[in-house]
Amino acid sequence: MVEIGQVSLVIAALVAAYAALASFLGAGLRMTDLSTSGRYAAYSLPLLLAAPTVSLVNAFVGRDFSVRYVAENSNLAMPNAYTWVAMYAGNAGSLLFLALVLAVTSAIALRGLSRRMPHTTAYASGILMLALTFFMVIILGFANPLERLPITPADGQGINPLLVHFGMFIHPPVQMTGLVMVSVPFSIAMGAMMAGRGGRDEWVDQGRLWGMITWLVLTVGLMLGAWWAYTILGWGGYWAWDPVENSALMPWLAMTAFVHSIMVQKRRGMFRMWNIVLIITAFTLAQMGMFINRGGPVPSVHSFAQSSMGWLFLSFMTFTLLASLAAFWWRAGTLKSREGLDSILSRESVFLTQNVLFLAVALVTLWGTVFPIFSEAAQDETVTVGAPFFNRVNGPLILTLVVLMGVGPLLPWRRASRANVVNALKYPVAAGVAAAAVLMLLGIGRPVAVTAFSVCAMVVTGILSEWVRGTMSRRRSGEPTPLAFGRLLLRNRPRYGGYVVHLAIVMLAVGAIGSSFYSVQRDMVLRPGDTGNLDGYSFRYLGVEKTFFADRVEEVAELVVYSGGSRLGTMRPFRAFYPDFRIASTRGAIRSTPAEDFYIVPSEFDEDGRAVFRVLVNPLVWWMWASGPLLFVGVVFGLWPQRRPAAETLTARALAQAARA
Amino acid sequence: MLVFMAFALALIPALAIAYPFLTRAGRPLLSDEDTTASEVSARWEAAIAGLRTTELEWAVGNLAEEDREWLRERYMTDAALALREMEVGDAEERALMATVEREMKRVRAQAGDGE
Repeated sequence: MVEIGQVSLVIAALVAAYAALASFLGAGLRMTDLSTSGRYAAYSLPLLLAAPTVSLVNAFVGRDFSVRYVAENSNLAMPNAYTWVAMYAGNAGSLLFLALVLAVTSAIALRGLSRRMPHTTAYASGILMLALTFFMVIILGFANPLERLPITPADGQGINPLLVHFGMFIHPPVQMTGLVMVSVPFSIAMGAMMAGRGGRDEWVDQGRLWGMITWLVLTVGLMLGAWWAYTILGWGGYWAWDPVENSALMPWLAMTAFVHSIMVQKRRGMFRMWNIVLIITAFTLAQMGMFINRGGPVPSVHSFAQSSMGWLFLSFMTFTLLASLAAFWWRAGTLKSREGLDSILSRESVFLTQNVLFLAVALVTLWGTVFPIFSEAAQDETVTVGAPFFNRVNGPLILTLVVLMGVGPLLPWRRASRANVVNALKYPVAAGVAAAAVLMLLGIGRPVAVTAFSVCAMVVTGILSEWVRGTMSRRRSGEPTPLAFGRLLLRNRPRYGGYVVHLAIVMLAVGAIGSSFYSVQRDMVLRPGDTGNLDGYSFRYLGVEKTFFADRVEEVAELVVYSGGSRLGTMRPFRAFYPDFRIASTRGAIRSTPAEDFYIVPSEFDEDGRAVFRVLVNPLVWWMWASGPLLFVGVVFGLWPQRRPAAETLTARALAQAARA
Repeated sequence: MLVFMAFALALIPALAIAYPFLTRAGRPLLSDEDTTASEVSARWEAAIAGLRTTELEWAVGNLAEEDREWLRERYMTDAALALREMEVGDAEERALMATVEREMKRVRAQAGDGE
């Protein structure tokens, strides 16, 4: 089975290289058969890459330690359920996973694109297959997950203990999928540009669709990563501005700018050059993420998939960036906008400002992430930039983005009069001011937090007031309220799907503001029977139970927690030490409510019975995790295919009429 | 067995690669849809979408009457120009614009059935 996988890898590499070459040559020479052949070759790649993937999974299930990757990432003690996690737990396996995802998404995207835009598709196919060829070269030349060992060990080294968590079934594959999927909208935009169609807008629908799907996957990946960090890393937080976290955030920021900006191109024929710049930026940042994740020179707490192959990813990133800029230079003349800005007070103007801010946050994050490299080069000393820098610089930018998120949808396209702006914003602004007043009265007086909460109130009021007005409007034509509300949403899916996403972002922001400004933390040393107190909670430490397993020593603490005199229950945080890895894994116990999380995590157990706990009360974190499903629903709702209204479907008729004439 | 499986695996992409050459039937030169038609079509669709959004924004109270009139005029002009470029006959053009008017009236009345 392993040998079949090996053979299939070699065939896949050759086919990917052929597909890239045939697609580019076919596109350049306008040879339909050749480019179609390249595309069909691309269609066969998911199957060719499924074979080595199945081989690898099979080797894990059978604990075939003659395969180096299996021996390095599993052992006899590993539960079978973690076979899937082990498959991408290391560098080689995760590269195979990336290649498979790229092959599958490429095939689906090319199929959808080829009917309307064969010339663009040929270039897009060439770009996607070039990327896949790169992965295949690395897999075969530097990180083959099916490589055999000369001597088969009796047992494997085991899986990294930090990965033995439910979140690992979803977070890494989703995150990796998101990063590699940026290639798809990139290839569509670049394909259109190379085919001389970048200044036309036919690619925009497909570009936006794949842009939104990619954005959703990246968002889910980031949120799952934050949730994993919160629940397993045991430091009480969810975001540390770690280089690997930043490397996932940066392409997300660029993609967020892109999915907004491309709407302006669709509606107004504007920002054609800008959109190409944005997608090149997103693609480059996604590659930067892979570079940092796989052996980049920046220190990170994430040990996952570390390797010494950073230079390969850096080289490919440099090559694709230079090639993209050259193509942009070549086709810049075809990318002129159809129209210009009518007014500074318009939705497109807000989108542009928002775009610039997204890129500013991305650049600040990039600078903070790579700063250690420059500091080392300049003074032989690695200086890392911590959370205070990112919070201080990015905080105001992100807050301004949330303000624009509230203002933008309330302004019309093209132009808004001052009276219109005042009318659209009067209730949201009033709600923001009222929220600030209420918070001050409640004693929540930190100016930055009050401002941030007020902005959230403003955005929510803007969204909800429009929903109410829209429902009332439909009611006037005789529809009962629930039906009117349902139809308002269902018949304007992209618009209201976007609003649902914005509501989810506000929920996320509320959680981030609450936990950033009002989190309370204390480290405590307790003996069995001792009671500790923090922010209205009291907790009695009953003791610790130590259990020896084949691969770890687990110490589970037991605490009874009270709040306001009533017993909330028993909490059992634990700490496990894996001697083979010399890694301690702590798992916090969390009691989560919409108001706040009570979070307790052990950091040390002494032989004399003393235990050291870190105890936190994190307000409003619950809202962050609750925003995830809402965000998902919003995007799917907005993207769900909708029957085209009568006037638009007349286009086909008009064109047919024109053709007959 | 390995040789047989390798052959079977290689056969799939080989057939996929060869298929377009084996079935060639004088395919036209590789090109996307007709540029002028799709460009005009995009402008028509953008104008109609703009009109619909304008009516929806007005119906839900986001748009002042003055702005609505200004936007309507712009989008109607865009739509008419697009139709003119499609070289649609006068009667068809009138029919299309009348349909657009009806559609907008419905959107106005029902706060936008489809943006």
